[in-house]
Amino acid sequence: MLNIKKTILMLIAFMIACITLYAAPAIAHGEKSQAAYLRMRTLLWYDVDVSTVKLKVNEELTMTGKFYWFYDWPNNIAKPEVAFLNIGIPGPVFVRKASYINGVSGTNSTRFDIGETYEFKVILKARRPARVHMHALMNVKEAGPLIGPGRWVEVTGNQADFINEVTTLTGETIDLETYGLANAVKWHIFWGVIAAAYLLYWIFQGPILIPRYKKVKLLGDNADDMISTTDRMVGLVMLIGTFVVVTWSYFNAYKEYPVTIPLQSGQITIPALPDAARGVNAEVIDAKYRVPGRALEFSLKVTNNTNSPIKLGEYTAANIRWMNPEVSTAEPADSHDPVAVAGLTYEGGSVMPGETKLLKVTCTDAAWETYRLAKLIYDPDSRFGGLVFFFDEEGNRSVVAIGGPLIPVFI
Amino acid sequence: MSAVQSAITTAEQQHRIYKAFDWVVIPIVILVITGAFHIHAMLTMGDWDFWIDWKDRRWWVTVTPISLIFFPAALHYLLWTNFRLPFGATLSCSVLLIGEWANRTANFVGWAYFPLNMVVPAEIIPMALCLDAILLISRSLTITGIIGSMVWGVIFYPSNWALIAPYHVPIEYNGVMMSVADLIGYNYVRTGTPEYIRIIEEGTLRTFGEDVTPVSAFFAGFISVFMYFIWLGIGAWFAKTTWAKRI
Ligand SMILES: [Cu+2]
Repeated sequence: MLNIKKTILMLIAFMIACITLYAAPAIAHGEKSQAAYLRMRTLLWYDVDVSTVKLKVNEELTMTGKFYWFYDWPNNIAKPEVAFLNIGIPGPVFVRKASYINGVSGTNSTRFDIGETYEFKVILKARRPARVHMHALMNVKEAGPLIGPGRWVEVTGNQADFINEVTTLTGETIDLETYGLANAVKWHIFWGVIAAAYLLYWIFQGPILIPRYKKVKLLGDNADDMISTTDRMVGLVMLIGTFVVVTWSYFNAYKEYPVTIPLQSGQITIPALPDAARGVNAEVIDAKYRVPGRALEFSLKVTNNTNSPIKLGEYTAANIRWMNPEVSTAEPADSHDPVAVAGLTYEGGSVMPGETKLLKVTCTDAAWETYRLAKLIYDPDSRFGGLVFFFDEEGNRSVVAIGGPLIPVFI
Repeated sequence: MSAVQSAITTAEQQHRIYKAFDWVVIPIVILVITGAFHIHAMLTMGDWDFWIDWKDRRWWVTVTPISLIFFPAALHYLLWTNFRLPFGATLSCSVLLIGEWANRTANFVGWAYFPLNMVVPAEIIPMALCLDAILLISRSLTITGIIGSMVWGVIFYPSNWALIAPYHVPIEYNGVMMSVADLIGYNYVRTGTPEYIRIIEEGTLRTFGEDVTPVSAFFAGFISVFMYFIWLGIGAWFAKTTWAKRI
């Protein structure tokens, strides 16, 4: 026999679980919560920058950067067949005035190619005073949000001053903050009053529950006689009145807004940027993660097909940067920007043009623990990934994606 | 003598008790319907009703009447067969709208700071008035189920067009043509609701060209007819007095 109580309890538990899961992205930014292999081997962001971190309501902020779709995409994550460049903020602190991927407007959802690099630019206009940790973010259909680097941004001023004006193709200038609201509220009030009048018509006929229940039982098959001719006239007037008003409002709206279009939902494909490796090949021969030292150690077979000697300046993965200050320097942008300013060292020196060489690279930092990347060894797919940046003497940069199995060393 | 007097007193007392019963029961019933119907609405039509850029000509038009006929049908059964009260649809749709407005202003605007015009609920009173009026005129749940539910589904889109037409005016934006509703959806960043999540304008009604709305509306009415009778049955099941007897 079906236990109804148990079934209902289980259904409620299931519902709560669904709601919690649905609300989860709003609570955690995901910068540490997502599995390490996922953060290292899906979307790799670099060169992310914001034009300002302190602005007033109505002022604009531009976020720029690049992202690379990792070549060794994890099998259990959906590929970016449908994706949308987004911004991770708690509600519309900003409005998105424009977003571009390789110069193409990002209003539509987009298809991306694995193994390719794209650059992005998002222009935001401050709407509400707040101090927020803002992230570059890519939503991928069925894979969820892939989170880019975050920056603390502070908006000052007054939300009441915010305006968001646009001009329609019919030549009207409108403020999207309030456009159409008064009209919609007017209709809701109009129909609300009629509904209330109809309900009160019945409720004011005295006590309605027990007497009517008794009467229905008493009259039996003739209970329909309880509905008087007046009642039915009210029904008829209400029916015809509703038809008339709906018909009038429908055609009147067409008269007022003769030019309308359906909601637009196209999808576009954007060509990728040229290969950022610029003729440098790099391949991981073996890789270890040294637990006591919090260090990633890997040997890299590098072939330099460019015309000038190159050196390794940076390794980046999961929005964390390990810098080799002898070649390339970077400072954390704020308190929550993980940059290991001297986290990368390597043996092997310059790789000459035409040369193939084995480099022994060490990336050390507490971030392996604090950003929970060391958990990679407990992931279902314990392979790592990332980008290495080589620089030649003129400062030209080659960006190469690397990755492979990672063996932990516990002693 | 004393018997007559006591009879009059009893009738007055009885009237007072009936009135008190109304005053206690009706608010409780209204609160319960508001809560239950609101949860049902959020789980079934959810985003279609939340956002202006989800209110399209195919899915919203179809999903809303079909998912919303549940409570009016169940209440029709309860209130009509037991009390001959023909306001189940108007009552449930009115209290649903009160719940929705409270949710939109407190949560969507108050907590998340979305502009109110982005999250105005759909207009569902006209369809409810028609359903109740047809029950009142016909005094038959069967006729209400067949004709009323059809009208319920068909009239949904026309009664909302006066509210949403302004949001379908075209705009040229960054080299792309969008409706005002699309632009609002793009401007006001929703981190958890990317563009592709919208289930809009998809379907196999392509042979109908531009005239998909009437087809969607009639389809919604057609399914509503079936749903009405299913929920009439569920209302009947819940209204069985055996439940009361068991308690
Ligand atoms: Cu953050």
